[in-house]
Amino acid sequence: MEELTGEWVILKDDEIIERNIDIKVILELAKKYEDKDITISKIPSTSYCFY
Amino acid sequence: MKKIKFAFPYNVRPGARKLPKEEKMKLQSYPLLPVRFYQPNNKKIMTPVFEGLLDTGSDGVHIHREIKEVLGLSQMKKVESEGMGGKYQSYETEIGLIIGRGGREVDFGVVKAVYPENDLNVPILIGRDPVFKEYQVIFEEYKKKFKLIPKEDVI
Repeated sequence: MEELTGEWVILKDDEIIERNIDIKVILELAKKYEDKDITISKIPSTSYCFY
Repeated sequence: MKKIKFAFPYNVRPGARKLPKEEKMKLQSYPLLPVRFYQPNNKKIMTPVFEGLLDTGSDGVHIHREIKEVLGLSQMKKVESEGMGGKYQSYETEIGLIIGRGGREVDFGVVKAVYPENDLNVPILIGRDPVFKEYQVIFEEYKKKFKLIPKEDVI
């Protein structure tokens, strides 16, 4: 199972296709998938989050 | 703004979504709202869909500096913000906001957003302004679902 990495990810059909801790890198990588139905999300870095 | 009703399931973290249902039930899950952002002066400049955390504790939309850079947003007033980790410097900006995806979308137009001066380890936060001002938001934690009902449709 995935660890709580705190990484930003690009998802396609709920599968992680790209990952990086830096959102800037993820936004750059997202350009490769311009015509695809992707989602950018973030893996939490801890078990509990209180924002 | 033409509003429509939404209902979304909560979702577990990325990387755990293909687990068997019984496994996922043991994990923390979150009310994640699909959102896109666009350049106020040029709607063609738009981000991919983000999963934003629908957050009653946030005053408004909280993004990241990199989104501001990618969309070429203006940097407005410097403001102080506060989260669980304490106070931090941030900036106000204006950004185009769309919620929903796949043709079932609502364009909020240009809204105020805040981004921190230095990167914070937080997801995109969709706080009360403007979404909760326009929608009745129902969290059904026990069903792992949330609903957005246009305020005009609420009796």
